[in-house]
Amino acid sequence: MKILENKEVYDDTIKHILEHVEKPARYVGGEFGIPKFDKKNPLKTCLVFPDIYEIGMSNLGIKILYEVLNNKDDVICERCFAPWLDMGAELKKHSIELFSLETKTPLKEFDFLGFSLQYELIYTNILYMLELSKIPFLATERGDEYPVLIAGGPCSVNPEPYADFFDIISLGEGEDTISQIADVCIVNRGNKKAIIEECSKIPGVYVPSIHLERMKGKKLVVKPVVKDLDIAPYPLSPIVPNLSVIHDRPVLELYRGCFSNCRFCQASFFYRPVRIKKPETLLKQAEALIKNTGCEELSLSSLSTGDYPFLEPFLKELIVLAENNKIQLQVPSLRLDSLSQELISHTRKTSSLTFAPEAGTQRLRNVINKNITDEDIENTMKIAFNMGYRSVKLYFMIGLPTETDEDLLGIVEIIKRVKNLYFEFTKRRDINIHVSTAVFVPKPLTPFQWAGQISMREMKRRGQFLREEIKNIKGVKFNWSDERSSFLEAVFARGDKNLSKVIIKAYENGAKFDSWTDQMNFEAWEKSFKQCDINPMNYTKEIGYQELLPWEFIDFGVSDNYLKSEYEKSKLGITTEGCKRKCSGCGANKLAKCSVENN
Amino acid sequence: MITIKHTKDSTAKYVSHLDMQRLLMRAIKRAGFIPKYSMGHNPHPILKMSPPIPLGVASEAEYFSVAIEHENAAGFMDSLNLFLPTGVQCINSWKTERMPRITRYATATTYVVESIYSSDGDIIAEFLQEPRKYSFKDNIVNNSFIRELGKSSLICTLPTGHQNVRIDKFIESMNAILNTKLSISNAKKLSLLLSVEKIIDTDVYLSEMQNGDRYN
Repeated sequence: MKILENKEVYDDTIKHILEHVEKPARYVGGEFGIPKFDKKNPLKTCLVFPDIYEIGMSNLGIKILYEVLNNKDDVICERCFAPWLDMGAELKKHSIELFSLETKTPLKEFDFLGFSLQYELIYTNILYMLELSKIPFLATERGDEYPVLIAGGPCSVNPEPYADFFDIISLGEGEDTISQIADVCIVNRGNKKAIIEECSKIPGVYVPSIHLERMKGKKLVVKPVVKDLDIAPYPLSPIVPNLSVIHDRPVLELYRGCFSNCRFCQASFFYRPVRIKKPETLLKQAEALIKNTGCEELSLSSLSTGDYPFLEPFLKELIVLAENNKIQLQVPSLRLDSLSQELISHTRKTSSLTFAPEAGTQRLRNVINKNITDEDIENTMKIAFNMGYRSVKLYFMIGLPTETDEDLLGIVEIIKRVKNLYFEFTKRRDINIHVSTAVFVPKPLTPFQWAGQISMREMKRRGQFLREEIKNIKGVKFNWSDERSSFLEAVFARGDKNLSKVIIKAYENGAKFDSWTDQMNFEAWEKSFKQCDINPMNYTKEIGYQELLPWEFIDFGVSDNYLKSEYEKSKLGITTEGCKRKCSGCGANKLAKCSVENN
Repeated sequence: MITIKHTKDSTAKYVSHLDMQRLLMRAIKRAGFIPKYSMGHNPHPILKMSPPIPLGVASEAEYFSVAIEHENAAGFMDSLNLFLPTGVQCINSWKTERMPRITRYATATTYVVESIYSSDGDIIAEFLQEPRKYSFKDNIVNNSFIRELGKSSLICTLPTGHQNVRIDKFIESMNAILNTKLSISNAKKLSLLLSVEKIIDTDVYLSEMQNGDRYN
């Protein structure tokens, strides 16, 4: 009975804590769609998302893996999100270990924890969650009594900066890998050494303690991909959150990969080859999602929805389905020129149109291979203004390779042209233009992975230069991203093994939730780099082809030579056509059949 | 028009009023029912809920009314029960011609407060015997009706509307006077009283509306 008493005290303490934190519904679970956990002696797994509930529950990857694991006969899978600062402090104060949403089990008691790493500036939150769970940071310091720690997600493109914290890293798409890891864990339960060893034999699994020869230029691990999305597991009855989350609607993934070859875009290369779902599959899945969630909206997801090969006939049928069920469609990043106006008018009426030319001049757009012409911009705006839009969001990057002040002035020119077009069309001047600029971050697995990033001082100068030019244009709002975030993002995107100690130091010095602008504690980072005697600027410099890249041991399908030739072409301002009409030869089709080849 | 009485406890007691509204609407649609939508430029489903209670307080007497194309209120309730999250369960249902005016007529809320223990020993017993002797701030007690339930629990009826007494404020006052460490998780809403000609329980109001259309 002693245990029960303790359990009651424990529950009471949690109840007490929940009264003192913002949005307690984040921490209690109980949502519709949680499976019944009635399996006998199952493998206990937990997916861990190092950011808050509202962000994590908007993530498709988590939903897919949750589905895959809970569908296994002898596995249960729960969720845990990073507690916001108030909850973290309360947990610490009352010595309550971080617990899962579903059964309120402390993380330490699971067989394995699967961390989903979506962006670089969240690495300190791994440590934040481990500390709250009383789990040691370094894999080498954790014995059999601790769960096996697995990392995966987009940040697996370069796992080196955080590799020391994990036993196993699942590269690329995790739906097959996680299932195989679970199988290994079941067979070798309790024997962590055997689990890690066996897992290293699973395709797409990188084990830092076994793959020791990674800085010798050889490809040691190949990125796994889902071969056929039409039959791949997909969450059709996802958990419906009890509180409003960032993307509060079910998601229908149209295809993976991208038909465009923008040279700065990591996602484009990371998710190759292109694999599309058939319209029949999509319509079936859409219907199930609408019925099973009861949500008011459905959103379509892919890297460029306008490029989905069967978009027009598919949308026609989807719109009928949406109207019958009285739901609205959210269609992101649509290229207006690729769709008839009739179809667009059926999608959710957003108050503003979003458009991303990325660079201000044709020259620079050729360098980055964003194949949009001034004419395209003009045509899109004309269509939008015809439809009654009076608010436009424009996205640009600053600090792109070879960028000059002339390119920045090109951004100003575009803004002015959009404004004039609006006046020509409507004879009114009540347009709102929101201009957002992000600083270019060279990312692994892109043709710009060798390029340098401009200094923080230069980021500031270019931002201010633009602001001065823009501030006198009426109706235009301008914001630019925090230069400290952009700098740290570049450091950790291309960082190496040495950075794990900096992450630990930074966490000890008070850094966490670094991706939240208001939480960014740059002083902590500066201090930590100094304490570790590491100059972060070394990671943002241009890299020579002869240097070995920390992620070079991973075979992502896309060949190094292809990336090199794209980088060389960019220096000459030569563009590469998108893959829609003709394969551009990136090499990713060796992993699985690429839908481009079907066209 | 169908009105449902439901619980809001366990994990659901942490769901805010606004989130609850969305949650109920989604459950109704999952259960396969098509709500009627309001007319106008921006049609929205017709759903009205009883007045909000503070976050973290459990309840066994929440109500919502929905305009729905369904004849059988009990059948609706049974189906809906399969599609609700933890802590929300329908316990009664009524079918009425018109939208019940629960929020408009709401006059008092009854709560049970349990596990009242104090380091001051006898003070609890004394208080429970004659609560009016104790001067709570803002006249909270004088405006409320309190009766003893057992040695360590009480039932209080707190006014809503103009002289609204919130259960969390009530508990705060109790803690100040009695040196207790009560929190809102010690309280649970039992019923909602309406002032329609006389003071009656919402259940009675709804049944009379259903049977005789008395308040239509």
